[in-house]
Amino acid sequence: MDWANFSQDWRWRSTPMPGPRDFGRGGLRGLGTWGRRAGIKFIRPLNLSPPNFCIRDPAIHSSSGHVPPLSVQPLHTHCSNFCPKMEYFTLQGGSCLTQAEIEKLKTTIQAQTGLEVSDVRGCWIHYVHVSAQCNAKVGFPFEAGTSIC
Amino acid sequence: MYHGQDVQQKVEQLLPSVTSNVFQSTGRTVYITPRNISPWSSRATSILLICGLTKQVRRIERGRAISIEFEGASDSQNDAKFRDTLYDRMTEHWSHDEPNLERMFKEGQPAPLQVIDLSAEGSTALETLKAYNIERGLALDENEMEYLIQAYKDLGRNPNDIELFMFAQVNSEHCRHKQFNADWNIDGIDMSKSLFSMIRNTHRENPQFTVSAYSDNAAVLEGEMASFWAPDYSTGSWRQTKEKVHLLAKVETHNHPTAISPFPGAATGSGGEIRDEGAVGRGSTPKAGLCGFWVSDLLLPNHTESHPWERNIGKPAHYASSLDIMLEAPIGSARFNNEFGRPCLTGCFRTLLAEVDTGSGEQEFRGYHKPIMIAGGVGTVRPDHALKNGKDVKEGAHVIVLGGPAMLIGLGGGAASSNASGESSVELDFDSVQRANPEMQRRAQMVINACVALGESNPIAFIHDVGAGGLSNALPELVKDAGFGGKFELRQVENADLSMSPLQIWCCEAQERYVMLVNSDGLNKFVSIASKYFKFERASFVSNLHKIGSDVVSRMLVPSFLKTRKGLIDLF
Repeated sequence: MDWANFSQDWRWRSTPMPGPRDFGRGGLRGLGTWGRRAGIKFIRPLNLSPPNFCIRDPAIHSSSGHVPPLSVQPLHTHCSNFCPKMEYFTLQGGSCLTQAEIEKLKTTIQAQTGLEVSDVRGCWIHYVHVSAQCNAKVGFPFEAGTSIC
Repeated sequence: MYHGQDVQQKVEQLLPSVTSNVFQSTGRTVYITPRNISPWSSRATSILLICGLTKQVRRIERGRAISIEFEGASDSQNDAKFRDTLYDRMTEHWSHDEPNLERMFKEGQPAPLQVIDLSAEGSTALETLKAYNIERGLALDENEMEYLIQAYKDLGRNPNDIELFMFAQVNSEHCRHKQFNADWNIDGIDMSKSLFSMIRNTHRENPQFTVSAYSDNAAVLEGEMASFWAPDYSTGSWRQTKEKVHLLAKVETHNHPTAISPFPGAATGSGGEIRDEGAVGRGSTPKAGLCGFWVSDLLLPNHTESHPWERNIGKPAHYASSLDIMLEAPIGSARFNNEFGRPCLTGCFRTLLAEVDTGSGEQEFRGYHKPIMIAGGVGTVRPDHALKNGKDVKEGAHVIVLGGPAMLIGLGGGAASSNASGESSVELDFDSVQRANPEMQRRAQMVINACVALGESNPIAFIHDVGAGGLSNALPELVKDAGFGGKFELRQVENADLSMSPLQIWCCEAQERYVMLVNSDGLNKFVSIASKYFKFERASFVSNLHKIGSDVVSRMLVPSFLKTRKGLIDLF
């Protein structure tokens, strides 16, 4: 790796930009070019629709020439071949109000509306955005010299 | 259903008090969710990733469901009466329906650059620019707009949104201190000093024991011999060295964000000041902080008789009340200090609302409806790192943005804070709301600390923090102060919201970011240090530096383009 020209040579991107050596527009098609230079051989031509990837681990190359495992994370929801749909689940948490806050809210809302408030309750709700299919199909991370097919 | 049911189980184990009970309500239920990616979301997502869910979890967000049961019937018209009691309208959404998760986690396509057509039919160039000025809250005055119209006429093209926004930011009162640097004529006599010159006069007359003042992110005072503890990079063990340790000091204000949303406004005020203290010279260390607040009369409930001097004259709708500011803002400031790991040791607080004679027989009220929020502190810097020097930077050095990702928050703080009270619209002020993530800033500070510990081998050649105006201020200032120019690749900036336009990436005030120059020979070391603290985020490499005068100059970005028309921004 030519660290001296790191930022020019190695386009770290998370969004589409034209360019022959990035993982922007064209998505994984750029990976083949990168792979040849990095010593990774892909058996099947990569011709996938454009997801956007970035290399998460900056220390992917060492000066010894050893190529450690490459960690690649998809960043877009638009990678239709990998992620047919985005998925979510929700988890209900505990109360978001203390008893003192509940009593205060009852009094305040009653004063503001002129209506008698019999009860106030509140809870946390956690919304989780998952993309398990994407990774389950592709099988990240890549190992040097392995195939993703 | 998604692949891997164990994901849900793991998330349940990590979240507190998760219950399988379904929230049921017989009354009015409201759902309150964050307007933007919340600080809680950033931290919780990081924890989930660190706990091994990197391949499954994209993001987690948190909202509240609140049920109110009335004795009698209640219609939706009543909601408006108590809505503000339950949520912060500047940072949260309110809905009777469950949130649309597609929308909450939407990752849209990058928005394009916008060109403002000054030759559009039906209005003059000045009218078009005035309308855009108001729409975007740029706080440009008429002289500046006329200058811009002439400049683009000479160029033979229309301006784009980045150019206008950046012009407004770097020329705002907040960033340029036009009033403080203005010439004064009092009673027909030209004053020899501007307000800033008067402030600086003390240092000019007595410069002894000052290492730097009015030139860096914080002032540096000559220190004394002390013990410097730092890990030895080669062995990983801690080592004590006896050396002189300089002191640094800083105070700055953060008024507008505190006025519209006190807790995050004050929190990010302290956060920005802490970043200034960490971005002195070639890297430094914040040690202890302070915060202070000036507000109008508090109007304490049920204290009308005991506080007869207080007057209720109303307030701008988009500003928090003085009481709310004093209930929330100090906690925001203290909390950021605490979570970052710097004690907030002292502070001050005053109220003032006075009815005064204007001199023409009319009375007017003067007070702090728009509050003053000051954040300050002291820190240390090693003598060898105390001064910024362009000679430390070599051509081809890497321009790096370290810290959190760009987000659609705090857009236009510099210009917004320069608007007089009430000039900007409520909708626009939503863009000025900021959010704090002290844990992210601590990690960035750890990177700086590790680099500073390397002494002569410190890979950071130049550093600035990212504050008002976002990267549009910080990056040009960085390269210009180092005596270089640069071509910046905005799409290389780490970005949490992929739908952001170039303008939004360039000008957003996403907090907890530093910009720095790292020479090629130190990059390997810097990357290895940064990767220890930023396992799941990237440091963004946005440019290589180029000497001014190279053929890149035609695409170079020059912040002082007000003075030289050759330097007008040409980003694309």
